[in-house]
Amino acid sequence: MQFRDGFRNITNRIMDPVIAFKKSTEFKHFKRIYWEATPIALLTVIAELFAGITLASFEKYYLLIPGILLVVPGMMESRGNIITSLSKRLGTSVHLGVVKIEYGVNREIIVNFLATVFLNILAALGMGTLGYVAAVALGIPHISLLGYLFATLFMALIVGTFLSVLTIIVVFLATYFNFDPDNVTIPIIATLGDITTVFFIYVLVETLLWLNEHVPVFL
Amino acid sequence: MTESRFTILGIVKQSIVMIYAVMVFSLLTGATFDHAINTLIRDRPVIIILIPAFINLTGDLSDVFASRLTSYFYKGEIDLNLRPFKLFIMNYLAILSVALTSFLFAAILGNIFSLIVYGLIEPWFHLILVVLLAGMIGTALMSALGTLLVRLTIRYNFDPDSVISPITTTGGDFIGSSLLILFVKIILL
Repeated sequence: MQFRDGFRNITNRIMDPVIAFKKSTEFKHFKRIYWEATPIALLTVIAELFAGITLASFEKYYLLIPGILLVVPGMMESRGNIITSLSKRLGTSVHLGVVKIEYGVNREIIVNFLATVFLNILAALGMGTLGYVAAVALGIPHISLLGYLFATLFMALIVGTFLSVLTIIVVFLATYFNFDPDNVTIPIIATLGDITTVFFIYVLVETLLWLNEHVPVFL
Repeated sequence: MTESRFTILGIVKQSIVMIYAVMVFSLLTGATFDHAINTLIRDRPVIIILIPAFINLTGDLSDVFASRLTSYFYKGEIDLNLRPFKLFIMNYLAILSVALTSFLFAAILGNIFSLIVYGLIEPWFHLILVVLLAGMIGTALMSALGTLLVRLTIRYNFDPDSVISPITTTGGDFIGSSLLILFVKIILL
């Protein structure tokens, strides 16, 4: 009997803090983040691996359009830099109650959307110019300045605008299905963004090669 | 129509300087990428396959972390000194746990994809070690940087949602891809 009570005391001493911890608000936060973010992160991984296979199969284009790889991360990052900021601002707006499904597309959303389009264009102009300057400075085989500007603006206008609209839809959907937009919007947009970007890089290089056949100033 | 907290010019002004500043890192990532694909890893397709996942996971996870911290600050659940510290640590550990699961999954699936598409495979243990080391170190570093940036932006009255993303995503891309290539060089080559 004494032994059993002693054993129970010891197990209680060990287990009580564990049970208390599992019931704590902090652990609930941990669980919510893990279970909301992990499935989407895993889907991101699958999509990114497909993007990787596509990228690995682009080998012939790296030779036909030399130096294009220099601006590829930048083009993929414009999604990260600009579109993710949009989703974070909208996420915070949802938390502050300024963006709600009942309000529809209100001024908060329109202002954020237009600012994102402007930022995409400004970033593309900078990336194209800097990409060309960096290629010349580093002695990397490269295309013309016009080619770089065409590439970055093409991606900014088509992919950037498409992803901005998609971000607004995903924020609304996340709110509707009672997910925290902070946990789900960024990974979803990142995944869809990369699939879209890699697909449009393919469209871009084909367009550049076609355009250059008719007006040989791009490559 | 309800009023907005933002103006178009306000968002553009707060974001553009940071976007231009981090472009340098983008180009460095591009140059690393160009060099690595053309020399080191040309005959190692699994690493090329893993690069986009690496480029994005590190930045995105630290961005999710920074985004959550920002919301906690705005809602008054965490103060500028990161108190209650337990809540902050739980969030940090949660992001690292998501990173551990995701990078492990990426390594396993990347090797399987490489086997299916190219008929080439890396040694399992070494590849998982490379991916986990690079991924976890990258995510831990970028999330710590995200914390610092959230505190600084709020203290100096910048909008953290506009300023932090460019730094964490671009920094994550550069740190993530550089760490991957570094550990590939040390462990795999």
